[in-house]
Amino acid sequence: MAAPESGDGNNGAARMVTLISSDNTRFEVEAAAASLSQTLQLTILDGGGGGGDGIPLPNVDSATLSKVLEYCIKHAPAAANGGAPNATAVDRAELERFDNEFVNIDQSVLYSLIMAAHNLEIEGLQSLVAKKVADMIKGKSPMEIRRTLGFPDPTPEEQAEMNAHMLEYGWAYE
Amino acid sequence: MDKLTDDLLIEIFSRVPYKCLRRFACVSRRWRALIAHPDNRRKLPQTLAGFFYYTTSPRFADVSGTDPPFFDLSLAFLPDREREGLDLVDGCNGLLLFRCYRFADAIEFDYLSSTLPQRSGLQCRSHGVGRTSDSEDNDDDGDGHVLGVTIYSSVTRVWSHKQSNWCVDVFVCGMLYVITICSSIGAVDVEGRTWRIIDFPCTEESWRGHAVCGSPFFDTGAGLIDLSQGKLHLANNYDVTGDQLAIWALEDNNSKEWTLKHTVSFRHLLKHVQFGFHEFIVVAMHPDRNMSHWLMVNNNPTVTGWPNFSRSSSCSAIMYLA
Repeated sequence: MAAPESGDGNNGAARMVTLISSDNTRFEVEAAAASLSQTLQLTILDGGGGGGDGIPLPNVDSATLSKVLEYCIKHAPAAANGGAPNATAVDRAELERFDNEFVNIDQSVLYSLIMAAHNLEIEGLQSLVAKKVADMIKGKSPMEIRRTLGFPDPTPEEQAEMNAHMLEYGWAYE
Repeated sequence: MDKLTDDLLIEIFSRVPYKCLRRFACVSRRWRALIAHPDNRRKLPQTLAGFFYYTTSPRFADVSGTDPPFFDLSLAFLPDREREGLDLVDGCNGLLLFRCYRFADAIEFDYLSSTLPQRSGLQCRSHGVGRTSDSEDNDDDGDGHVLGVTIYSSVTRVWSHKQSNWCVDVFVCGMLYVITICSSIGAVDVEGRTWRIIDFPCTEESWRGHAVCGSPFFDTGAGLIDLSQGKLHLANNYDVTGDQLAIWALEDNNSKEWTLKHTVSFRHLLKHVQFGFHEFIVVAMHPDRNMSHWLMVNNNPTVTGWPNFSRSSSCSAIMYLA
């Protein structure tokens, strides 16, 4: 993954930075893509991440980081246009298609993704995953939600509280 | 997912309708505490907190069940000098509209809009407040023809005047969707670009009445529109005797198709009804559930003023729709 970087500010090529996952895998990406993360952007603006140094990300494993970077690389051009006011409808539709497919993944991956997006402050990704999770549980009953999200079965007291709440707000279950 | 931080859970919760949120509150103690916490209220979908009505002075009927009540009618959140001579005209989405009499000429007024203090939140209807450009503004030609509306945007915080493109008689008395004087609803978007007229729904009974009385809706202005469960709802007379009230839903804002959701006889609600519709006003429809709030109007103002409402009093009914 990691390629040696010349480090001598060659103007034509985009500036690259290196990110290091918690399990020590090195990822080299364009600075513009990594800068979708508000936290990384500061480091990158300060000149970090170039050359052999790399930016360590102790909270993100390599599987999650590669997924995060897939999102960043896809969204970087639009973000560079300042939210892409000039983007064509085709571009926007393509990004939307990408987003929909991107979150069509296992729940444990969704969980790692939203935590990583939160830590790295990637607003678009965090909101994309939040929306996906919301859609997953939206029409479901409390028990179905617990099952969907893998919560343990409720204790008898919890069950009693749930029943009381359902009685009080019966209309929400119509 | 049980390990998600509070911030992230709130972000997920903020993306569902209020009805779902009520179910989420049942999922676990932690979810319930998060949803109930006042700090999170602004970020989460909100529902009807209450509504304003007038007796001798403005009142707020609180249906939020929170303590203290959602809204402080002393308007303590406004600066002192602005609290004088205010008439509350409307409120929605945490935004209030006042008519202010603060000029030397006692009948001259202007309008003040204000957002509610942080912890409150009123029913969400739209992101704007509209008012008619009525005769005081010389936009009514004296015959009920409204020539324009003035719309306040909570986004830009400015009032803007729009020339009406409506070509039939309308009288605008609210925002976005307004009941007109000829049994139709005028609709205008907040930018003032789209102007539409939607006719009141008509039943077979009312057409039969039409043959008898000459008009299916001779009592114009009888009715209320409100937003419920994402659709425009209308409460109006179902038959010409004025004995039944109907709740309609506009299925699709473009198609102009109405669905009759419910009818109710006034005699069914209270035994001593004499004049039907005129004794009742539907004052609000619940934004999330099949429920409307009613006022009973006492026609003798020396006894109770007009109207009188409280949740426990016999003068009000809270009706569930089928």
